[in-house]
Amino acid sequence: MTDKNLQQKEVFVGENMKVNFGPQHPAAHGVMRLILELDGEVVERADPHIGLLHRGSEKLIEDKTYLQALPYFDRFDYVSMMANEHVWCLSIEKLCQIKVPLRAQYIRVMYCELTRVLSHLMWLGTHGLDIGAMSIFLYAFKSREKIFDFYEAASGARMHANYFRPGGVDKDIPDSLIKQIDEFIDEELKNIDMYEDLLSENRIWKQRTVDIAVVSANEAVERGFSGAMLRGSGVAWDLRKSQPYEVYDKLDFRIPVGKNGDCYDRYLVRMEEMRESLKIVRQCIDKMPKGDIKVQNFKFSPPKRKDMKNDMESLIHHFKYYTEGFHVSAGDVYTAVESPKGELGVYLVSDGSNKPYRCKVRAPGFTHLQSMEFMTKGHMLADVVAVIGTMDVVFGEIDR
Amino acid sequence: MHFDKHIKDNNKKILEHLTEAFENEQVKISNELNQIQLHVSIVDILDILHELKENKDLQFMQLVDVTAVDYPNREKRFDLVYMLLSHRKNARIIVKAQISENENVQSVVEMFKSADWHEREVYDMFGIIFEGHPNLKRILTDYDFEGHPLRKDFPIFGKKDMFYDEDVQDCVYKDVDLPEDTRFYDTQSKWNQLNNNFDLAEEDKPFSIDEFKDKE
Repeated sequence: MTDKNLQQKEVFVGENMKVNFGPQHPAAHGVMRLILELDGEVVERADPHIGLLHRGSEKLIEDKTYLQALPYFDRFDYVSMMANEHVWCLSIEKLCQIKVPLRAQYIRVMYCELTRVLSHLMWLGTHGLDIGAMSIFLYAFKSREKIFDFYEAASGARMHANYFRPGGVDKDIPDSLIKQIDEFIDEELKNIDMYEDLLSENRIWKQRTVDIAVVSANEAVERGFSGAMLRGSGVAWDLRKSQPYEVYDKLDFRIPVGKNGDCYDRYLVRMEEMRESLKIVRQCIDKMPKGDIKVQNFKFSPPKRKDMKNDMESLIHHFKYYTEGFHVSAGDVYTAVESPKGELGVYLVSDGSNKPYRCKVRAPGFTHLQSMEFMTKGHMLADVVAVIGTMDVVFGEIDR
Repeated sequence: MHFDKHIKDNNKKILEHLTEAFENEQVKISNELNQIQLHVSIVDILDILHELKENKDLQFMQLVDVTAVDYPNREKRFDLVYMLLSHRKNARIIVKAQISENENVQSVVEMFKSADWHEREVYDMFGIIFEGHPNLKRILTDYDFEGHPLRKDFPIFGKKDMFYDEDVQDCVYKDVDLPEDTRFYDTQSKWNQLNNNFDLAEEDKPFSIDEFKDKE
């Protein structure tokens, strides 16, 4: 045997194997390159390489007016679109001290909660598919389709709605739509029961999730976890309750909290969250008053189209709103909302002009994904997909 | 405002404790728009964050985000911004420090595990170097990327173009060459814009939120 062959042999004996997971792996939920160091089938090291979907949105937003920046937010977390728009609108409203009409607040909360169901259904379907449950994927996507219809009815777009506006929402929603949503709630509550019947006591599901990636409450806080990842570990923290925005303090809902901090608990938390979200939607429907759907200050919102055709003042307002845009008072503000994935924040710096000076999006998935190594260490290779699933990563928001 | 009702009382308590904790140090505390901000010197950043975390009355256990803001005309070019959250006291705080281009800052990864990727992102986007960071590499941009894109002097269309070369059968880079000059539209009017112009606007069409409250 030559020396060269000997050397090659040495490399393989007793060495850990490196596996390149992704970037085009279907279980990577998008484009993540994960370098795994394996000892047999046990994960020793996990190094996620992100940024393959980096579009430089933060840089682009600096070059757009506040209104033009709004559609970029749909594309951050592209399975919970309106939750992203919401945080952008809230941050502008906070800087400008805009009061939003009550009807608009209810519409926004209603759509945010529908979005939560939308996002959790996506998570349920893909997470199930990753770890061996096929049919749940088809059921979940069937339900999602209906919520997309509600998106379309309100905004005209199925996914990237661009519906919320700083100071309210774009258009009013008809009563017929509210009736449809009302019918959907009952239907969906039954569906969620069915999903839980399919999974909760399922032997395979439990084997794949129970005691996988256990995170203690302390670790979860220290590692910057938020949302269901934090609540699954037993920390009762939800921004809708603890730092309520919009009309959440007028609504009655509970916060589900896990006990063990494993994948199964996080699954239970998210399932329960969907039910609570639907409850919130029902309350919004009951409490929604009639009235304006955007702030009637035409420096911050466009006047009615009919007025624009007849009234000179309105025409000027309309023109200035869509060309120059509104100016936001100088200052900086950090606003956070409880998005389906966790704490979604925007740090907005304004210099008083019509374009944001700096806009930093704090994506929950980014913070969660950096704990990949911590959560997978010592687990089997097959559990890596369970961990990716339980984190509910979406690369639109992580790479930005 | 509808979104910061809850914060007011909490912030009062936190502000008291803050003034107590940072009596002897040069810390500027502000509470604009109901959010507490600390303006500190970059040298003290580690001590201040340590105090915020360990102080029993504050307990800012979670580092939510680290980011920077670029002001190219200033002597100390960057604002380094740390955002912390206290679950126990239900409060947020923003810690700001100015740092110049050729200054380094101590990494806080030892203290807050979540700082790891956030600091890498700040390094990637602004080129601020964190001393003592275990793995300070680029995170969002491409493997061989040059420059720091979120600096204000980085052009919005980038510096390098990547395309697939049929002859070489590989991806190649070349300098960005736009056939047309980039046009910068001046959209701003010459008149002074009114910020927070609520008194004026409410004359356009009176709107009162109380109107709806009664109906509920």
